[in-house]
Amino acid sequence: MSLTINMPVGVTDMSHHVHQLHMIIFWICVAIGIIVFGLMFYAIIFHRKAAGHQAAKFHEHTQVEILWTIIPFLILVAMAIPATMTLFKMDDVSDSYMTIKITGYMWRWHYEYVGTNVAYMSELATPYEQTINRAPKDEYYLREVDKPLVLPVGKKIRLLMTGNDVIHSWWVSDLAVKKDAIPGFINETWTLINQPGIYRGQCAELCGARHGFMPIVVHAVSEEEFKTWLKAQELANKRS
Amino acid sequence: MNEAVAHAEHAEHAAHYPQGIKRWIFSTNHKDIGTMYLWLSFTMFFIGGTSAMLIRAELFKPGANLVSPELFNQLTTMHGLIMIFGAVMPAFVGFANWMIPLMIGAPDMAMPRLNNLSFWILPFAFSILISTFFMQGGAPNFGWTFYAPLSTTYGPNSTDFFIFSVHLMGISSILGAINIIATILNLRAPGMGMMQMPMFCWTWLVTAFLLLAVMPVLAGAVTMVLADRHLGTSFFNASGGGDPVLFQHVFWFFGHPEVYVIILPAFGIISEIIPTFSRKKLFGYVSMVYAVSAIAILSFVVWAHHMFTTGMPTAGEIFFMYVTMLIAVPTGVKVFNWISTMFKGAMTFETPMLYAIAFIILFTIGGFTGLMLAIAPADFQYHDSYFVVAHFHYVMVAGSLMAIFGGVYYWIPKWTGHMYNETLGKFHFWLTMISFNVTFFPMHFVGLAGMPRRIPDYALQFTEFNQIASIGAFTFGLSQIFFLYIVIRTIRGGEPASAQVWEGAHGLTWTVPSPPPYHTFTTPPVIQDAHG
Amino acid sequence: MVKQRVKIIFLLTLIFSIMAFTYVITTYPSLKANDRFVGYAILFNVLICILIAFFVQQKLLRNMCLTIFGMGAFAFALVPLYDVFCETTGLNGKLDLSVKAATSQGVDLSRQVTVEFLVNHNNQMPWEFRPKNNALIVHPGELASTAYYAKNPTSRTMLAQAVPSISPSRASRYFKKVECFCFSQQKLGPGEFVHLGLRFYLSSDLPKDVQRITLAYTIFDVTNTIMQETHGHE
Repeated sequence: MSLTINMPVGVTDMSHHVHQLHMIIFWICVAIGIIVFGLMFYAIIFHRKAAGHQAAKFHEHTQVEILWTIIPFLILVAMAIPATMTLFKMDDVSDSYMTIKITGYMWRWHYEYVGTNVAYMSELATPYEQTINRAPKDEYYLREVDKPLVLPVGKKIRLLMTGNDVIHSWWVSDLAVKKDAIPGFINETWTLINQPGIYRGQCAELCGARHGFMPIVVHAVSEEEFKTWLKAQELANKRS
Repeated sequence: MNEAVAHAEHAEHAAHYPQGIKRWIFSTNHKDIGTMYLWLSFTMFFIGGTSAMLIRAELFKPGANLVSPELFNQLTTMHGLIMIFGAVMPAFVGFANWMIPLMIGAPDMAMPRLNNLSFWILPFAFSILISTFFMQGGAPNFGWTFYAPLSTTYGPNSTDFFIFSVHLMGISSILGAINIIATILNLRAPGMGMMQMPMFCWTWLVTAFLLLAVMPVLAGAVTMVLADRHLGTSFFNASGGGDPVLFQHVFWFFGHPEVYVIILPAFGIISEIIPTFSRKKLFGYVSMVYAVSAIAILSFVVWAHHMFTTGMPTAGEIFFMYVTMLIAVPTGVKVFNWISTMFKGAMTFETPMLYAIAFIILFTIGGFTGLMLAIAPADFQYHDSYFVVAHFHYVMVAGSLMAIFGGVYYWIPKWTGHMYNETLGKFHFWLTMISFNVTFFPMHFVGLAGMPRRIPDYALQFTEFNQIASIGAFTFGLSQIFFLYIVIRTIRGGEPASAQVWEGAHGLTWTVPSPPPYHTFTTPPVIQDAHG
Repeated sequence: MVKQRVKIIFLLTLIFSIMAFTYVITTYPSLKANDRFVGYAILFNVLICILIAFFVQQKLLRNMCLTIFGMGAFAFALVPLYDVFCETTGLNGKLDLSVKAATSQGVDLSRQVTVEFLVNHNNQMPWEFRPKNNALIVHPGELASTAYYAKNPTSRTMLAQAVPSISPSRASRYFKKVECFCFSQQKLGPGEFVHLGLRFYLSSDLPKDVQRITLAYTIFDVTNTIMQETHGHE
């Protein structure tokens, strides 16, 4: 039984920043809501005809109107500052440790470790019987793949996205990464995972009938484990 | 005295319009055409609502339940198209047709025959659109936003019919907009300046300009899709030198002003209801006019906030983030003005007022989530998730649709001459209000937790909130059937309504009998109650 | 009475020619990409405009018809006009891309930029396609050369189009391709292979913080599409 109501804090610095930004904006909106709706409910309770209240005649007040134009504007400026700073950090792809080329297909993902011979398709691994309600669904129903993307922790990974056929979108919310995979073009983003673990995501752009069936699984492991794994993959590919 | 004159007028004109089916097909009467738009909208609302019920039934629990993923994509696409173009927009045009001439003291719209054409295009457009369900390959299945290359290269055969249908709807909207502008600018009664006319007229004037500006852009987008599909062009195909993202730019340049087309008339309706039931003039008429105009102008420069994940340069993301956030300022001004109208008034809470108050609260919540979405780095987590679905249903359903409901309850006594049953109306309101929130509030949660849009099946952790949403949706749907019953019952009979109808109502509308004679204001009225 | 008849004939001719026009362009695909076709289309619209100017008496009707066909002429005229526009403004990279222009800027030896070469096959395009160099280290202003190997392993003649995409996107303005196989379509017979050359330089005003540029080519199969001509960026 999962009653998650909020965005994950995630395992990257970026995901932490985004979560923080999200919470700040959220609480500001809650505060504004309480004030504004509070005033409205006050009026509803006390300024009703049934309570004998007589209607006032005012229908303008220039000073107040100027105030409630300027104050929200200033609140917006306050919100925009941390947002802009986070945006600049997010768009800085320099100094990466390695590059992964991610290609969205209908309906699976392809990962290529640029500079090596390691490249493979990553497809939904949930058995068909589970999707047609003929078998009980396991814990990671629709969010498990046959060959996950393996990445080292603590290293800045550059991600290049493209699409093979239609526009897909690569989204892993624990990493706060979402970028469209557009056929004919490459998009660039990056991630730096702080904690080892398994992180799951899904395609986030309608791409046909099985748009909901092309998940993403990232295995973040220590640098040594990653190097060992990568070497084994390279060797296996060289032999075959 | 009024009655006698009206009766005489009526008798005089009774022989001058056709009866039976001819009355409706050849109508040049703004009241009849308004009625037809409203019934078209109501019909489309139920059709779009049926697809929504099927969608929520499928999403009630994980796994394949009722419909295949292919049909599911058709249902979500058609739900969006039918609700936006078939339910909400025609409803507002129906209100415009009925109310604008009455509000400004005009005998009819400026171009009555054009008005007839604008309406009658629509049943054909929607027949074409809905018939696509029965075509080989099925209905359009690429989302109401029909991104390329999914629509260009992989769209079913029905895509071309969808394109034709959109062209027809666009023509109807453009002609209607021309008519509304001409009417408002030229046919106001002598003595009614622009700053004296009801706020509903102002919001529709601005909406009409928005429609004129952007419906041709949609026509362009849709034609480019047609050209890519059949005429060998490569607008959205990289292999021929084009770009799929170009589609998104063209579409959203239409799409964003379009959502303001969907909400501005709602603002107008709320601006009519609140002063009436607060027994107090609308606060800040002039700033309301400025706010509506500012929103409309800003709406042209924010389109790429739908495209933050496409790989935009940082400068672009910053610009669109800032301008999108800016729209909150004029919108906030309007909310403050409505509340200031209520403040220190003498309020009563009939059904229209209940809807107006619900609008203020729920639309503002939708506005808050819109502000959150504007924050570009955070949008990377929200985009194409259920958080967005929650946002736009708050502003379009709790916003536009509740304003429509409020407007119907507000004006149906004028249209029919009968008061609706207040108890039933309130019952409909509470059912709608509660079931709406039960349906759409949990969508914020699943969206934040990582559930994408437009998927027929989902991971187990999203189950509980989806079930709650589905139950809310079924209740919401049933409540609207109840609304149909209330409307029909009111048309057929009820407590007779006076010309004034509502104690706090002001304006020319409330000087004509309920129901008004077929032709009103055949001679221009004298402006006694300058509105504003 | 005669005027009425002339009007009706004129209107019918108009409608008929529009229908014929539509029929022709939808039935004969090869007509579309043709420059001659564009020329005829402009002429057609201008001719109709002249006819309208002479034969339509009512001012409003005449002006409306002139506007419509004038816009039609303008729409088709945009095809050559775009080329003029791009050349004058330099957008779409249609600058002077000769070798002289490249070397005239001077080489900035203080900086090194890594240029990475990637390949995408669109829609499982069957050709073998790979870069000769995975990466090159260049100085801004320096003219560099590399090549791509392409082979058609199938048993039919195929036509391919390579489409470049550069990351980071803000670097694309500074990446000048002097000679690129992506300027035209490549035709390979069954089993045929070729080495496709690429000559480029990075203009010396490339922002200092760009240290790596990725050039990815997506190769598309355009054998069965309408674009049977080479569109050069001459």
